[in-house]
Amino acid sequence: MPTRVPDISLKNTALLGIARSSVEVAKLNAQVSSGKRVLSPADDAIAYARAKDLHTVLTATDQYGANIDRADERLSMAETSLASMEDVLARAKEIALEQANPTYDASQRAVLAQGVQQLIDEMVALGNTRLEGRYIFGGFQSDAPPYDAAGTYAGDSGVRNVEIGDGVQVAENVTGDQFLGGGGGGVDTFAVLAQLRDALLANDTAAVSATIDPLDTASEQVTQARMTVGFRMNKLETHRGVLDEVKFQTQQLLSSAEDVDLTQAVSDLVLRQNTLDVARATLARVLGSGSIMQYLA
Amino acid sequence: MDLGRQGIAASRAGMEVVGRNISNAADASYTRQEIFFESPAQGGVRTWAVRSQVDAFIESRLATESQTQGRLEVERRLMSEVSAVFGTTESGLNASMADFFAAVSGLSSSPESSESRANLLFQADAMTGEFQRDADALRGLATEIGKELETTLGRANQIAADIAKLNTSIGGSAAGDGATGQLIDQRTALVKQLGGLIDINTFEDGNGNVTVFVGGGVPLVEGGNSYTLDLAPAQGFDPYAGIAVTTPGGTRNDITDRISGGEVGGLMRVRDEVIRPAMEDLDRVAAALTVQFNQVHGQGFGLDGSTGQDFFSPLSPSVVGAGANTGGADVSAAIFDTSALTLDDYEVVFTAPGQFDLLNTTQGTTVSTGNAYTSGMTLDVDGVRLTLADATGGPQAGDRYLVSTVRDQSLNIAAAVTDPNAIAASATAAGLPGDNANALLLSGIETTRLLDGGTLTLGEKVGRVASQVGLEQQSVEQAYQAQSYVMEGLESRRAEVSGVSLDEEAAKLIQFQNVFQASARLIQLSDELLQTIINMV
Repeated sequence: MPTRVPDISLKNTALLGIARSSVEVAKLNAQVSSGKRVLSPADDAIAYARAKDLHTVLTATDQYGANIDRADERLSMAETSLASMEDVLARAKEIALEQANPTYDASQRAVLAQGVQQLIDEMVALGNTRLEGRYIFGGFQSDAPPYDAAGTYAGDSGVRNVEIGDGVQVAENVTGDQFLGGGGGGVDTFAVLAQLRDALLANDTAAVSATIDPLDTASEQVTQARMTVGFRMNKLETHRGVLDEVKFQTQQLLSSAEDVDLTQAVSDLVLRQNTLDVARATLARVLGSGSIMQYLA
Repeated sequence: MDLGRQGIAASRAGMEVVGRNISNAADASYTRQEIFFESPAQGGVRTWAVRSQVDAFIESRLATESQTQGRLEVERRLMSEVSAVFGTTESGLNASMADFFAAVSGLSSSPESSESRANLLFQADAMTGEFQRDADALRGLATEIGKELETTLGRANQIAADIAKLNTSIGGSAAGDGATGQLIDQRTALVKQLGGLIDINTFEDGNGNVTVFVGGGVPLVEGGNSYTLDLAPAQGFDPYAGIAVTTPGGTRNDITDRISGGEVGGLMRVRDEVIRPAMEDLDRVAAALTVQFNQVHGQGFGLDGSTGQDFFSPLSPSVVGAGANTGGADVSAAIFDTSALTLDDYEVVFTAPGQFDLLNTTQGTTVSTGNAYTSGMTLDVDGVRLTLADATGGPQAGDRYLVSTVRDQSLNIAAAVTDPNAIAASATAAGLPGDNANALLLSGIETTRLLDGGTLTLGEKVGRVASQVGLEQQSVEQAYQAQSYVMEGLESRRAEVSGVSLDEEAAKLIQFQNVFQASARLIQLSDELLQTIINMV
């Protein structure tokens, strides 16, 4: 216990109380109004650094999400084109099966040869499918049509991987030289179609019939490519789910690192505000009460 | 009757002291005075002394603690400015770097898209801009601290001069006099203020003079003389000025290393132990990013067929001669093999005019010793080629040169690529717009542990720098809170002894008034008695 309480101490004590409470009230007020507990590193340096890292994770996650969206669009586009190619090849096989039968005559076969030429044109158009100005079946040479009118491939076999997660990549293209060109021991689809067309023109039943098996293989190749695309789209979908979960968890962690516990903050604020009011009232009392001086007549 | 006169004189003196106490009651530095009387042998009363009520122990504790207080106040103010450089949790350099690498990843997803290429250049500019802003802000703070040091030293000099003046006035007046007490109060307050500015010790001699030593033993005030504190030229490779005291004889004592307290100590500590390491760390991050990104980028091909190009402007090594160099040689450095760069700093130390050692100061190792010097020679170290030559003269023994490849890189970093088509996303050859293999490699730099001996990624390092500053700020904040309680406790103990209580003074006033009235009554009574006797005659 102090032995003497000089007037200046009374004033200082009351003023310090007000100053401390004011600082706390201002701080809590900023927390409540921003919803954030960590507004500067001084509030909690560890949580601050952690929150910075988590924001970086969120930025990367968003980018992976955008990459998945892009890859998904491209693979969907490829899927659609590949499905159309299957249809075209099925029609070519129908013609071949039908015309392998000797009941048809040369003029009928000549008409159908034109039909096969149209199928070739359609295949070329499908092989030159574009998305956002990019030829999706041309490998790395995505700026020029990979097929000319005769179905000659001008692209390459570049497979493009995209990042869909930290260290996770997925190939987002299939190249025409593989599933149409028969790269790696398959059949050259355009060559088979041209063979069919020419056999029809030449009215050569045996030659027509010889295209049936290769047409099956060509169709198989496209179906294989379509399945590959499907698997990749599945992988994208699965990984999108993983990313959503990562994002959700990151936001949770971020929230616990930097967000304010509103109930706690508001009740602290009310408490501090009361303390401040009391300190102010006390100061007014202390300064107003004077001393024995005022009782001296 | 004489007794009554003495009583009146004594109570007047008492009331004067009470009056002085009352009128200074609101002055925190004022020391309450008390009057003491003595009764001479022949009777009556005499003022014996007017004493200022001081507890010497508390006063000296206050003087010491106010040095810590001064330091912490400055550190607290500066730290909040330093930590503001690193932004909130979702802004600042970390965020810019994350955005930049997201753009790299976006490029790998759409290498032929002009939007993704343009976006990468845009994000690169945003990131290098953030590097520069942060570097500028930190350098700006260091400069501001330099200016503040100068004004603070000016204030300290003014206070030292005032203390010297007060020494003279106090030495020339009678001790125990109330007015001297106030001069001593003033001087005590000034010494405390000075302690808030810089490390001092004081000692009071028998003649009432206070001698002030600064930086543990260098006199600043001796009797009626005060000496000058000013900025000393930087030592070694230190970019900042230190502190010196100049005696009237013109001798300069550099006391930089001996100052740790007061505002001056706080200013220097924040500059040297917080801002400077942060700047150096950011320089290193910027340098590592530049070197690594350029390395990978140079291996790739742009849409326009370009290859071997730098994405960021290459590092430019800097060489600084020590302030104390006496020779006139010139050392310059250039990078000749980027892949061999280690980002370490090197020091060329001349052991004789014709011989020098080469040290790696980052690793603390010696690269080579006893190299013979000939003007125009070159020496290669880790991809850096040093050229040593005579300039205004030859080298002298003891000359030192610091070679750094990273210095100021956070300030200098800038994208060198301006054409979006020159961004090398392709790994195989020119003219493959859909090839993203090199872009994937560039994107991988974000997660490569390039710094601190392969333990931290670029982003993690920046986060580490920010959290280091944050922890420092937090600890300063806590120390400041603790210190303010210490100061408050001391101030209130000081007030207990030295503060004025108006209640006490009122009581004394009544007491002296009573003595005065009684003494007057004594005179009146004596007078009446005398009249009676006179009337009897």
